[in-house]
Amino acid sequence: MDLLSNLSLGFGVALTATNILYALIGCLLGTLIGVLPGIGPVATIAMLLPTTYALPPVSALIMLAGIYYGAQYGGSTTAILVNLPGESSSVVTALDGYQMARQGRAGAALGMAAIGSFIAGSFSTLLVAAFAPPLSEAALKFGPADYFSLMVLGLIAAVVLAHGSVLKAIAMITLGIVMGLVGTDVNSGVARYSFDVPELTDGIGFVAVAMGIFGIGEILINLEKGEAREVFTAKVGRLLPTKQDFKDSWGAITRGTLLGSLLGILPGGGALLASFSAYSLEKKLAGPKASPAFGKGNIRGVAAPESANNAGAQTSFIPLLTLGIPPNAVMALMVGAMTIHNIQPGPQVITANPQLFWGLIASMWVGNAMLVILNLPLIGMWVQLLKIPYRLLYPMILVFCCIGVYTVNNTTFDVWIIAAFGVIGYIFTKLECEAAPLLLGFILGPMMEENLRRAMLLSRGDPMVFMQRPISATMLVLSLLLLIILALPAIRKKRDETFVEE
Amino acid sequence: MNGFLKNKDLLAGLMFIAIGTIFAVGAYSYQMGNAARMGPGYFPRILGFTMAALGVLIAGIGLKNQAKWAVAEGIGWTWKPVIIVTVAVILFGFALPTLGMIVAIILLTMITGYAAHDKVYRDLAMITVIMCVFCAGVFIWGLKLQMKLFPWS
Repeated sequence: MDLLSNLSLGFGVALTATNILYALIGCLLGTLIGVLPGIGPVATIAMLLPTTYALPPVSALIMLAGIYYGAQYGGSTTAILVNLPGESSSVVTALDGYQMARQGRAGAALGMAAIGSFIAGSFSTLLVAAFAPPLSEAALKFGPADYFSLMVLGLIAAVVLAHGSVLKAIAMITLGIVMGLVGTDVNSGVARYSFDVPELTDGIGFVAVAMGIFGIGEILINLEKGEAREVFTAKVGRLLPTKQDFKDSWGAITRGTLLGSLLGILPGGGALLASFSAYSLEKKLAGPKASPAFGKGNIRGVAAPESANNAGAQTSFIPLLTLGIPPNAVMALMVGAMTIHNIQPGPQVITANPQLFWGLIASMWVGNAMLVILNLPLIGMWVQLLKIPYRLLYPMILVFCCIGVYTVNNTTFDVWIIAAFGVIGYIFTKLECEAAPLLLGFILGPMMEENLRRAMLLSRGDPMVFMQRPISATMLVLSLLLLIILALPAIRKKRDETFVEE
Repeated sequence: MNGFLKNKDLLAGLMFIAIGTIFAVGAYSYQMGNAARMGPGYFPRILGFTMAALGVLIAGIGLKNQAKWAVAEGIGWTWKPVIIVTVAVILFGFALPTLGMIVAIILLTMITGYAAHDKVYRDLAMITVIMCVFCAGVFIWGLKLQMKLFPWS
């Protein structure tokens, strides 16, 4: 039983007192920041990244994973209690969760979200443990052409999953890729698009871009709306869901977990698509006769998307750990964190650094367990936090963003970058151009160029190499199929409906 | 004229055309190389032109639907908070290494406070004090990051 011995190695690492402590601190900090309205996991992780610099690599990654789970759970708490989803993946949770809260059943909704997430997390952690080793072995057979095509597929998939205009999403991806190319070209040593600014020769920092667009840009959008938040005053109610709740939800949790695990693996996928589709599936299965109706406080409408988004959050580690390709913006940040600790993510991690690999996987489960133990008793505190008015919150968020980004390289320049990207993010939102695909392009850009160059060098300039290698050809055909499917009017209508859930 | 300024697709398309052209033109100042040995300009040139072409498509769709956009609600740019926050963040960048963290935080919170619809200066002062104590405690004493605390330290 390889799996068992691997897992026990992992738990040996994850269950040391220090690492449990870091997982705990990570979950706590992640929830603390994630619960603040208007801050999603990307901004939370970017903001808290500096707190992990001083730690040894394994502990740092464990803490970051904890921050990620905490941020997700914090987002759901905000969605349920004040109907203000901090991130897109908890938008659907707000639909029924907030209605339950208004009926005085916030406790049951929060409890079910936690329990569903835990079950989903445990299952998908096992999936990651089982599938990562064979996949990373397969990944060693990948040549540069295969990597390039895989990234193309990932980016196209990200387009499918973005809401709004397909063309705009593709344009945002290309913009992200060229922005990623700013700085010194590794092959020729030429500083591209640096306009003689010395700081730009090192490229634009990923953390700064993410924090500018998702942290500052988001604040700018919120500021123009003014305070439109209904401060939560009702009672949270009992936290443990009733027997009937469990009976109603177990099917939803199972389906959500399976769907979420599957969608999380897809490049470009992850938590967002998982929670949307799990919710629509539940709604369809329940039919129009569901009682209470969906959107009116049905507990299945909380259990399914919460399980799915947690399962997706877990399995999206698979492409990162096996191929070194981040499937979404959060994983792109994890790449950034790994590079800071001198770990090159990819198929070699599992053999070169098994302690880190299995420790991280085991810590996923520890982190999920921590969330349940931690959050149920702390709900009262989160509710208090939600009562802080936004006019006091955003200066605090700004302080954390600015100090956080400064500490990455200790330069003023990065602070100016977030100021610039705040404005850019604001303009993007105003013009309905979604920023998530841009971020993915930004992180994949340099890798794509590198692999494209290598592939073309090996084939002596013959682009047919991308069709001759079976893996590469499959990826490209899949990408093409996705684009064709996307262009079909019937599917497009369906896709628009999925993302406009009342 | 006003109708065109409400057209989000048209504006976004023009934005992509402009940025794409800048990158594509910029690529020509680097070596192109050929397909087998790509120079530093090769990939950015392809991307720049692709982006500009996508921009043309997006703007075209926007123009086709101009009638719909003309009656739509305006985009509603609100530049005041944007300017206040941006200026404050830029100042923070100047102040942190020169005047130290405390002054930088005071500048940031007090200036950005103006951007809110409902400002209460007493609360703002309170937040500033809390942030100063908290950040000094966490970042300087807790995480031991190398940062100046006061102008004279």
